[in-house]
Amino acid sequence: VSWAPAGAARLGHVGGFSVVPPDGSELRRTDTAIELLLPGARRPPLAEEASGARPLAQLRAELSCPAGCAVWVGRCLLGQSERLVAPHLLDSRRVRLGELTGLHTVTHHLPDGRLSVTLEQWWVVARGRASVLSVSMPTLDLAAHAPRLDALAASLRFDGPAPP
Amino acid sequence: VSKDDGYDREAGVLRAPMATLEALLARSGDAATEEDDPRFRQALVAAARPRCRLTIDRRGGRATCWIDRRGAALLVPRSGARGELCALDAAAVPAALAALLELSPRPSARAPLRLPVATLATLLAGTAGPPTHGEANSEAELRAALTPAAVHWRIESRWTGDRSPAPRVLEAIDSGGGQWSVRPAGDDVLLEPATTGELWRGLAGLFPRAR
Repeated sequence: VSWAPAGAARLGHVGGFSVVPPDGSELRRTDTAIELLLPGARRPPLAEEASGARPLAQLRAELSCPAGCAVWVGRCLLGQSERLVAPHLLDSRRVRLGELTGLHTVTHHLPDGRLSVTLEQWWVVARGRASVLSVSMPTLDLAAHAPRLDALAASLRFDGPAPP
Repeated sequence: VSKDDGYDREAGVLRAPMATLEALLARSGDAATEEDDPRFRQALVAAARPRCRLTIDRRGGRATCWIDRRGAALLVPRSGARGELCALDAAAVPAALAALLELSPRPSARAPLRLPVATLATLLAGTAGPPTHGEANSEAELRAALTPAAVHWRIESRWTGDRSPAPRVLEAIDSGGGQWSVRPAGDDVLLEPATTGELWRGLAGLFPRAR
Protein backbone atom coordinates (compact mmCIF):
# COMPACT_ATOMS: atom_id res chain seq x y z
CA VAL A 1 0.00 0.00 0.00
CA SER A 2 1.57 3.30 -1.01
CA TRP A 3 1.69 6.51 1.01
CA ALA A 4 -0.47 9.53 0.14
CA PRO A 5 -0.81 12.99 1.72
CA ALA A 6 -2.97 12.63 4.81
CA GLY A 7 -4.65 16.04 4.55
CA ALA A 8 -6.01 17.78 7.62
CA ALA A 9 -9.31 15.96 8.09
CA ARG A 10 -9.99 13.61 10.99
CA LEU A 11 -9.12 10.03 10.05
CA GLY A 12 -11.11 7.10 11.40
CA HIS A 13 -10.82 3.34 11.12
CA VAL A 14 -13.28 0.50 11.25
CA GLY A 15 -12.93 0.17 15.01
CA GLY A 16 -14.59 3.53 15.51
CA PHE A 17 -11.53 5.44 16.74
CA SER A 18 -10.09 8.46 14.94
CA VAL A 19 -7.21 10.97 15.07
CA VAL A 20 -6.31 14.26 13.41
CA PRO A 21 -3.03 13.85 11.48
CA PRO A 22 -0.26 16.39 12.01
CA ASP A 23 0.37 18.75 9.07
CA GLY A 24 2.65 17.23 6.48
CA SER A 25 1.83 13.61 7.37
CA GLU A 26 1.45 10.87 4.81
CA LEU A 27 -1.18 8.17 5.14
CA ARG A 28 -1.80 4.57 4.24
CA ARG A 29 -4.58 2.26 5.39
CA THR A 30 -4.70 -1.45 6.07
CA ASP A 31 -7.67 -3.59 7.10
CA THR A 32 -7.10 -2.98 10.79
CA ALA A 33 -4.95 0.13 10.99
CA ILE A 34 -4.26 3.65 9.84
CA GLU A 35 -0.58 4.39 9.42
CA LEU A 36 0.86 7.90 9.39
CA LEU A 37 4.36 8.88 8.42
CA LEU A 38 4.89 12.06 10.42
CA PRO A 39 7.07 14.94 9.23
CA GLY A 40 10.77 14.55 9.97
CA ALA A 41 12.76 16.65 12.41
CA ARG A 42 13.91 20.01 11.02
CA ARG A 43 17.51 19.18 11.87
CA PRO A 44 18.75 15.60 12.04
CA PRO A 45 20.17 14.31 15.30
CA LEU A 46 23.82 14.01 16.12
CA ALA A 47 24.23 10.40 15.08
CA GLU A 48 24.48 9.86 11.32
CA GLU A 49 22.59 6.59 11.28
CA ALA A 50 19.63 8.11 13.11
CA SER A 51 19.12 10.97 10.66
CA GLY A 52 16.30 11.14 8.18
CA ALA A 53 14.08 8.63 9.92
CA ARG A 54 10.52 9.93 10.17
CA PRO A 55 8.28 8.88 13.06
CA LEU A 56 5.77 6.22 12.14
CA ALA A 57 2.38 6.40 13.84
CA GLN A 58 -0.11 3.54 13.72
CA LEU A 59 -3.68 3.62 14.96
CA ARG A 60 -4.69 0.02 15.24
CA ALA A 61 -8.15 -1.39 15.84
CA GLU A 62 -8.91 -4.19 18.28
CA LEU A 63 -12.53 -4.85 17.45
CA SER A 64 -13.42 -6.60 20.65
CA CYS A 65 -11.96 -6.13 24.08
CA PRO A 66 -14.23 -8.01 26.47
CA ALA A 67 -11.59 -8.59 29.16
CA GLY A 68 -11.00 -4.90 29.83
CA CYS A 69 -8.14 -2.54 29.20
CA ALA A 70 -5.63 -3.82 31.76
CA VAL A 71 -5.82 -7.44 30.60
CA TRP A 72 -5.68 -6.44 26.93
CA VAL A 73 -2.72 -4.10 27.39
CA GLY A 74 -0.86 -6.63 29.51
CA ARG A 75 -1.31 -9.32 26.86
CA CYS A 76 -0.25 -6.95 24.07
CA LEU A 77 2.83 -5.71 25.96
CA LEU A 78 3.89 -9.29 26.63
CA GLY A 79 3.63 -10.17 22.94
CA GLN A 80 5.41 -6.97 22.01
CA SER A 81 8.28 -7.63 24.40
CA GLU A 82 8.85 -10.97 22.66
CA ARG A 83 8.98 -9.32 19.23
CA LEU A 84 11.20 -6.33 20.06
CA VAL A 85 14.98 -6.51 20.45
CA ALA A 86 16.19 -5.61 23.96
CA PRO A 87 12.89 -4.01 25.02
CA HIS A 88 12.89 -1.80 28.13
CA LEU A 89 9.56 -0.60 29.50
CA LEU A 90 10.28 2.89 30.80
CA ASP A 91 6.86 4.14 31.74
CA SER A 92 3.27 3.03 32.13
CA ARG A 93 0.60 5.35 33.50
CA ARG A 94 -3.10 6.04 33.29
CA VAL A 95 -4.07 8.95 31.07
CA ARG A 96 -7.17 10.82 30.07
CA LEU A 97 -7.50 11.84 26.41
CA GLY A 98 -10.63 13.94 26.05
CA GLU A 99 -13.48 11.61 27.00
CA LEU A 100 -11.29 8.53 26.73
CA THR A 101 -9.32 6.97 29.54
CA GLY A 102 -6.50 4.57 28.96
CA LEU A 103 -2.84 3.85 29.44
CA HIS A 104 0.27 5.60 28.11
CA THR A 105 3.35 3.39 27.83
CA VAL A 106 6.88 4.26 26.76
CA THR A 107 9.14 1.45 25.61
CA HIS A 108 12.69 1.67 24.42
CA HIS A 109 14.27 -0.96 22.14
CA LEU A 110 17.24 -1.56 19.84
CA PRO A 111 15.85 -2.99 16.57
CA ASP A 112 19.24 -3.52 14.94
CA GLY A 113 21.20 -3.75 18.17
CA ARG A 114 22.61 -0.22 17.67
CA LEU A 115 19.93 2.39 17.06
CA SER A 116 17.92 3.40 20.12
CA VAL A 117 14.22 3.59 19.20
CA THR A 118 11.41 4.86 21.43
CA LEU A 119 7.89 3.50 21.10
CA GLU A 120 5.20 5.66 22.71
CA GLN A 121 1.76 4.07 22.89
CA TRP A 122 -1.68 5.21 24.02
CA TRP A 123 -4.07 2.32 24.77
CA VAL A 124 -7.77 3.17 24.99
CA VAL A 125 -11.00 1.25 25.41
CA ALA A 126 -14.52 2.56 24.77
CA ARG A 127 -17.76 0.59 24.86
CA GLY A 128 -15.98 -2.76 24.63
CA ARG A 129 -13.84 -1.68 21.71
CA ALA A 130 -10.15 -0.99 21.96
CA SER A 131 -7.48 0.77 20.00
CA VAL A 132 -3.82 1.52 20.37
CA LEU A 133 -2.01 4.53 18.94
CA SER A 134 1.68 3.66 18.57
CA VAL A 135 4.39 6.09 17.52
CA SER A 136 7.92 4.88 16.89
CA MET A 137 10.98 7.05 16.28
CA PRO A 138 14.74 7.24 16.92
CA THR A 139 15.20 8.28 20.54
CA LEU A 140 17.57 11.07 19.52
CA ASP A 141 14.58 12.60 17.66
CA LEU A 142 12.13 12.25 20.52
CA ALA A 143 12.51 15.72 22.04
CA ALA A 144 11.98 17.37 18.65
CA HIS A 145 8.78 15.40 18.01
CA ALA A 146 7.27 15.43 21.51
CA PRO A 147 4.73 18.29 20.97
CA ARG A 148 3.47 16.69 17.74
CA LEU A 149 3.10 13.33 19.49
CA ASP A 150 1.09 14.82 22.33
CA ALA A 151 -1.18 16.68 19.91
CA LEU A 152 -1.78 13.49 17.94
CA ALA A 153 -2.61 11.54 21.10
CA ALA A 154 -4.88 14.32 22.37
CA SER A 155 -6.85 14.14 19.11
CA LEU A 156 -7.71 10.46 19.69
CA ARG A 157 -11.50 10.05 19.84
CA PHE A 158 -14.09 7.30 19.79
CA ASP A 159 -16.80 8.05 17.22
CA GLY A 160 -18.54 4.68 17.33
CA PRO A 161 -18.22 1.85 14.84
CA ALA A 162 -18.61 2.55 11.15
CA PRO A 163 -21.96 1.48 9.66
CA PRO A 164 -21.87 -1.96 8.00
CA VAL B 1 42.93 -4.27 23.67
CA SER B 2 42.11 -7.95 23.94
CA LYS B 3 40.32 -10.43 26.14
CA ASP B 4 43.52 -10.69 28.18
CA ASP B 5 43.26 -6.95 28.87
CA GLY B 6 39.70 -7.39 30.13
CA TYR B 7 37.99 -6.43 26.87
CA ASP B 8 34.66 -8.11 26.09
CA ARG B 9 34.48 -7.63 22.32
CA GLU B 10 30.89 -8.77 22.00
CA ALA B 11 29.66 -6.25 24.56
CA GLY B 12 32.25 -3.61 23.64
CA VAL B 13 33.29 -3.24 27.29
CA LEU B 14 36.79 -2.92 28.72
CA ARG B 15 36.96 -3.73 32.44
CA ALA B 16 40.05 -2.47 34.26
CA PRO B 17 41.17 -0.29 37.17
CA MET B 18 39.76 3.24 36.80
CA ALA B 19 43.26 4.70 36.76
CA THR B 20 44.15 2.52 33.76
CA LEU B 21 40.99 3.51 31.90
CA GLU B 22 41.53 7.21 32.59
CA ALA B 23 45.14 6.95 31.40
CA LEU B 24 43.93 5.25 28.22
CA LEU B 25 41.41 8.01 27.58
CA ALA B 26 44.03 10.68 28.22
CA ARG B 27 46.07 9.49 25.25
CA SER B 28 43.98 11.61 22.88
CA GLY B 29 42.60 8.83 20.74
CA ASP B 30 45.94 7.40 19.64
CA ALA B 31 45.87 4.52 22.12
CA ALA B 32 44.09 2.11 19.79
CA THR B 33 45.76 0.23 16.97
CA GLU B 34 44.48 -1.19 13.67
CA GLU B 35 44.10 -4.57 15.36
CA ASP B 36 41.63 -3.20 17.88
CA ASP B 37 37.88 -3.55 17.60
CA PRO B 38 36.70 -0.72 15.26
CA ARG B 39 33.96 0.14 17.73
CA PHE B 40 36.56 0.55 20.48
CA ARG B 41 38.75 2.69 18.22
CA GLN B 42 35.76 4.89 17.43
CA ALA B 43 35.00 5.25 21.14
CA LEU B 44 38.52 6.52 21.83
CA VAL B 45 38.20 9.01 18.97
CA ALA B 46 34.90 10.21 20.44
CA ALA B 47 36.52 10.63 23.86
CA ALA B 48 39.37 12.64 22.35
CA ARG B 49 37.22 14.94 20.20
CA PRO B 50 33.66 14.78 21.52
CA ARG B 51 30.78 16.68 20.03
CA CYS B 52 28.98 16.24 23.33
CA ARG B 53 30.12 15.33 26.83
CA LEU B 54 27.75 14.03 29.48
CA THR B 55 28.46 13.63 33.17
CA ILE B 56 26.04 11.39 35.02
CA ASP B 57 25.92 11.58 38.82
CA ARG B 58 24.00 8.91 40.66
CA ARG B 59 24.35 7.29 44.08
CA GLY B 60 27.60 9.10 44.77
CA GLY B 61 29.30 7.87 41.58
CA ARG B 62 30.06 9.81 38.42
CA ALA B 63 29.99 8.28 34.95
CA THR B 64 31.16 10.19 31.89
CA CYS B 65 30.10 9.80 28.27
CA TRP B 66 31.81 11.33 25.24
CA ILE B 67 29.90 11.32 21.96
CA ASP B 68 30.72 12.25 18.41
CA ARG B 69 28.75 11.71 15.21
CA ARG B 70 29.57 8.01 14.96
CA GLY B 71 30.72 6.59 18.25
CA ALA B 72 30.65 7.08 21.97
CA ALA B 73 32.64 6.09 25.04
CA LEU B 74 30.96 5.62 28.40
CA LEU B 75 33.17 5.39 31.48
CA VAL B 76 31.40 3.95 34.52
CA PRO B 77 33.10 3.56 37.92
CA ARG B 78 32.53 0.22 39.63
CA SER B 79 33.42 -1.01 43.08
CA GLY B 80 36.99 -1.57 44.20
CA ALA B 81 38.48 1.31 42.18
CA ARG B 82 37.64 -0.55 39.01
CA GLY B 83 35.61 0.69 36.09
CA GLU B 84 34.10 -0.12 32.72
CA LEU B 85 34.78 1.67 29.47
CA CYS B 86 31.92 0.93 27.08
CA ALA B 87 32.29 1.47 23.34
CA LEU B 88 28.91 2.39 21.84
CA ASP B 89 27.29 3.61 18.69
CA ALA B 90 26.24 7.22 19.24
CA ALA B 91 22.63 6.30 18.52
CA ALA B 92 22.70 3.66 21.27
CA VAL B 93 23.73 6.03 24.08
CA PRO B 94 20.15 6.61 25.33
CA ALA B 95 19.79 2.86 25.85
CA ALA B 96 22.96 2.76 27.91
CA LEU B 97 21.77 5.70 30.02
CA ALA B 98 18.38 4.08 30.60
CA ALA B 99 20.18 1.03 31.97
CA LEU B 100 22.66 3.07 34.00
CA LEU B 101 19.89 5.14 35.61
CA GLU B 102 17.71 2.04 36.04
CA LEU B 103 14.75 3.88 34.53
CA SER B 104 11.43 2.15 34.99
CA PRO B 105 7.75 3.04 35.45
CA ARG B 106 7.54 5.13 38.61
CA PRO B 107 4.69 7.13 40.09
CA SER B 108 5.12 10.86 39.76
CA ALA B 109 5.13 12.79 43.03
CA ARG B 110 1.81 14.26 44.17
CA ALA B 111 2.71 17.93 44.24
CA PRO B 112 5.52 20.34 43.35
CA LEU B 113 7.91 21.56 46.04
CA ARG B 114 10.04 24.68 46.19
CA LEU B 115 13.17 24.79 48.35
CA PRO B 116 16.30 26.89 48.72
CA VAL B 117 19.20 25.30 46.80
CA ALA B 118 21.23 24.92 49.99
CA THR B 119 18.38 23.11 51.76
CA LEU B 120 18.03 20.60 48.97
CA ALA B 121 21.78 19.99 48.96
CA THR B 122 21.77 19.43 52.74
CA LEU B 123 18.82 17.06 52.56
CA LEU B 124 20.34 15.07 49.70
CA ALA B 125 23.64 14.84 51.57
CA GLY B 126 21.77 13.38 54.53
CA THR B 127 23.30 15.92 56.91
CA ALA B 128 20.16 17.85 57.73
CA GLY B 129 19.77 16.50 61.25
CA PRO B 130 16.39 15.92 62.88
CA PRO B 131 13.33 17.90 61.78
CA THR B 132 13.05 21.31 63.38
CA HIS B 133 10.13 23.42 64.54
CA GLY B 134 9.09 25.91 61.92
CA GLU B 135 10.48 23.83 59.09
CA ALA B 136 8.81 24.70 55.80
CA ASN B 137 6.18 22.22 54.64
CA SER B 138 8.11 21.53 51.45
CA GLU B 139 11.27 20.75 53.42
CA ALA B 140 9.41 18.44 55.78
CA GLU B 141 7.73 16.66 52.88
CA LEU B 142 10.98 16.12 51.03
CA ARG B 143 12.74 15.04 54.23
CA ALA B 144 10.05 12.41 54.72
CA ALA B 145 10.35 11.29 51.10
CA LEU B 146 14.14 10.92 51.14
CA THR B 147 14.25 7.42 52.54
CA PRO B 148 17.37 5.29 52.10
CA ALA B 149 15.73 3.86 48.97
CA ALA B 150 15.43 7.29 47.37
CA VAL B 151 17.64 7.98 44.35
CA HIS B 152 18.90 11.34 43.14
CA TRP B 153 20.52 11.60 39.72
CA ARG B 154 21.77 14.44 37.56
CA ILE B 155 23.00 14.56 33.97
CA GLU B 156 24.94 17.52 32.67
CA SER B 157 25.43 17.88 28.92
CA ARG B 158 28.01 20.14 27.30
CA TRP B 159 28.20 20.50 23.54
CA THR B 160 31.36 21.47 21.69
CA GLY B 161 30.90 24.80 19.91
CA ASP B 162 27.71 25.53 21.80
CA ARG B 163 26.98 29.26 22.04
CA SER B 164 25.30 28.81 25.39
CA PRO B 165 27.88 28.82 28.22
CA ALA B 166 25.55 26.97 30.57
CA PRO B 167 25.31 23.19 30.29
CA ARG B 168 22.01 21.48 29.69
CA VAL B 169 20.94 19.66 32.85
CA LEU B 170 18.42 16.95 33.63
CA GLU B 171 18.00 16.16 37.31
CA ALA B 172 15.53 13.95 39.14
CA ILE B 173 14.69 12.58 42.56
CA ASP B 174 12.90 9.25 42.88
CA SER B 175 11.73 8.96 46.45
CA GLY B 176 10.22 5.52 45.93
CA GLY B 177 6.77 6.93 46.57
CA GLY B 178 7.01 9.58 43.91
CA GLN B 179 9.33 11.09 41.35
CA TRP B 180 10.25 14.75 40.73
CA SER B 181 12.31 16.56 38.15
CA VAL B 182 14.53 19.25 39.66
CA ARG B 183 14.79 22.67 38.01
CA PRO B 184 16.47 25.91 39.11
CA ALA B 185 14.13 28.73 40.09
CA GLY B 186 16.20 31.75 41.10
CA ASP B 187 17.82 31.05 44.47
CA ASP B 188 15.50 28.09 44.88
CA VAL B 189 14.97 24.79 43.17
CA LEU B 190 11.58 23.67 41.93
CA LEU B 191 10.75 19.99 42.28
CA GLU B 192 8.02 19.15 39.78
CA PRO B 193 6.15 15.83 39.67
CA ALA B 194 7.53 13.84 36.74
CA THR B 195 6.84 10.52 35.09
CA THR B 196 9.69 8.46 33.70
CA GLY B 197 8.32 9.12 30.21
CA GLU B 198 8.73 12.86 30.75
CA LEU B 199 12.26 12.37 32.05
CA TRP B 200 13.03 10.18 29.03
CA ARG B 201 11.97 12.99 26.72
CA GLY B 202 14.16 15.37 28.71
CA LEU B 203 17.06 12.98 28.37
CA ALA B 204 16.58 12.84 24.59
CA GLY B 205 16.83 16.65 24.56
CA LEU B 206 20.34 16.58 26.02
CA PHE B 207 21.87 15.50 22.72
CA PRO B 208 22.93 18.05 20.10
CA ARG B 209 21.44 18.19 16.61
CA ALA B 210 23.48 18.15 13.44
CA ARG B 211 24.98 21.53 12.56
